[in-house]
Amino acid sequence: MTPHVEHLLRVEAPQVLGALVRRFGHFDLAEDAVQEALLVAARTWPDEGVPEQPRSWLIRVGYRKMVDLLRADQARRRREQEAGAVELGLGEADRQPPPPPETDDSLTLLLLCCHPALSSTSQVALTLRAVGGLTTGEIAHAFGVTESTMGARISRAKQQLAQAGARFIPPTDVDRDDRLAAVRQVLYLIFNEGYTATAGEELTRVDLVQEAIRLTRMLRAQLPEDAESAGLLALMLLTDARQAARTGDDGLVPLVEQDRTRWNPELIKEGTALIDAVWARREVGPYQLQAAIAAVHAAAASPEQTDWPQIAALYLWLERLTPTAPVRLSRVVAVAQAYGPDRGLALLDAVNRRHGLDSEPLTRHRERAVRAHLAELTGDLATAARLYREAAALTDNQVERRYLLDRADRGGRHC
Amino acid sequence: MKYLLLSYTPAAAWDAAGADTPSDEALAAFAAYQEFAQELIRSGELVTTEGLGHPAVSATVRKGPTGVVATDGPFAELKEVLASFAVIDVASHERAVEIVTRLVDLMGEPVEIRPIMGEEFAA
Repeated sequence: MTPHVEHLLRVEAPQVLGALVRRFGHFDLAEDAVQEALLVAARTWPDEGVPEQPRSWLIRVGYRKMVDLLRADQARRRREQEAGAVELGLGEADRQPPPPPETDDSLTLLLLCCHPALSSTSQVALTLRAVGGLTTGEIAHAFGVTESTMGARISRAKQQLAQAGARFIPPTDVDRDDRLAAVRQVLYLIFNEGYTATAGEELTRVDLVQEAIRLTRMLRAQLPEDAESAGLLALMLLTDARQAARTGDDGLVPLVEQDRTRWNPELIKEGTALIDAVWARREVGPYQLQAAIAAVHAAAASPEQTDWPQIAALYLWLERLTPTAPVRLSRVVAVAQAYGPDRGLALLDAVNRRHGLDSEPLTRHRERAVRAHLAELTGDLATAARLYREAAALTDNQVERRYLLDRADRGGRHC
Repeated sequence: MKYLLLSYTPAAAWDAAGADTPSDEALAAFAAYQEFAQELIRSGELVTTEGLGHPAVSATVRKGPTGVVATDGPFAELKEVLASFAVIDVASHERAVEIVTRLVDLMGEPVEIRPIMGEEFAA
């Protein structure tokens, strides 16, 4: 398949699905029908050329596939002597104004795929398939599971949506903010899945990082007024900008040791402009804060030029909004960088007394590593080496373990 | 007076694999039909006309023992299904038949003419 056709199908998939679901309901069947239509297009367009109206073509073929699926479904149901009836509540009419003909359904679809009735793994899988237009095989490959496992997960997700009575209506309800928060979380999960799975030697055909960025751009286009969605996009761009400098010959390279000339200036420019623009609106949320922190890092040509006091202040703000162990630990690091290792250690002790970062599974090993690093900076190399080894024993990540043991040995040599 | 025209098609015809690639004959017939429709629009006799979705994408709502329920699919399994409809506004029953005769001659499928009752027949 040519890149042009592939791109076209990716962009059109949610629009075609939206058109079918809005008209006929049956999200689960419509979704299968769209996948089949995409396959037909992928098979025929490269040879026969792209039709003049690709979206209409896909809607027509999708509709036909949907009729086939529905007839099979209804015939089966008749055989099973089961009406497949839905009881109707005769309550107040929930009148929805008809959407304009050139409507963009991608946001409605995103909200549907991130329905609270679904687990986050289901939300992610369904979003990539229904909104991203990826095939089950591609998603399975990206997550390192078999195609049948991923297929079962997606089918189950669609059944759960049907059982939950989830409806395809534009978001006007009261829980819109919660639902949007779920959408942002799913997109960030997809991004992180792609970003941390640095299987560098194996280039997957589907780049989850790029897919997450593409979908978040789409979300932002739908909600230009939504500061947090802009913040999320800025965070992704600023994080992705460091991708090339993140790994070296011997594994992960920490932020302060990265070669900043390998950071991507276009992405930094775009991400920074985005966060600057929405920051002024004073509707700050966690994604904007994380983007702002990333922008401060990106603004420093060398680690020494980093405005650590500002980063420490941003982490304090973030900690108030999302008081999680990893955020608390990051604030400790920023404070130590801004005001010295002794002050960092004192804060770490104080935070541990109240929140136990050293026993919390999410931060246990990183707490040791941070403490080791601060001990090293105060000149207590023996303690540092011991703590680096403790941290190494607590992590499952081989790359990280190598790095920590290497630090322990380096400290040991100074003794 | 208004008439509702109901155009039926054999259920099997919906499922023809070639429905997306109509024959030249079918295309010619359709072009002739469109020309005729334009004629009726100009004369003011055509009020509206629409094609309908496959019965499979329809739903039927019924009152049952447990309350009102919606069921996927058409009201009944039919050999011939309603495929499109039109509303015409004409001077007489004869004119309605005349129009439909031309339609059926062009398109080949049977059309039912149902008088729309209107105010004067309302109880």
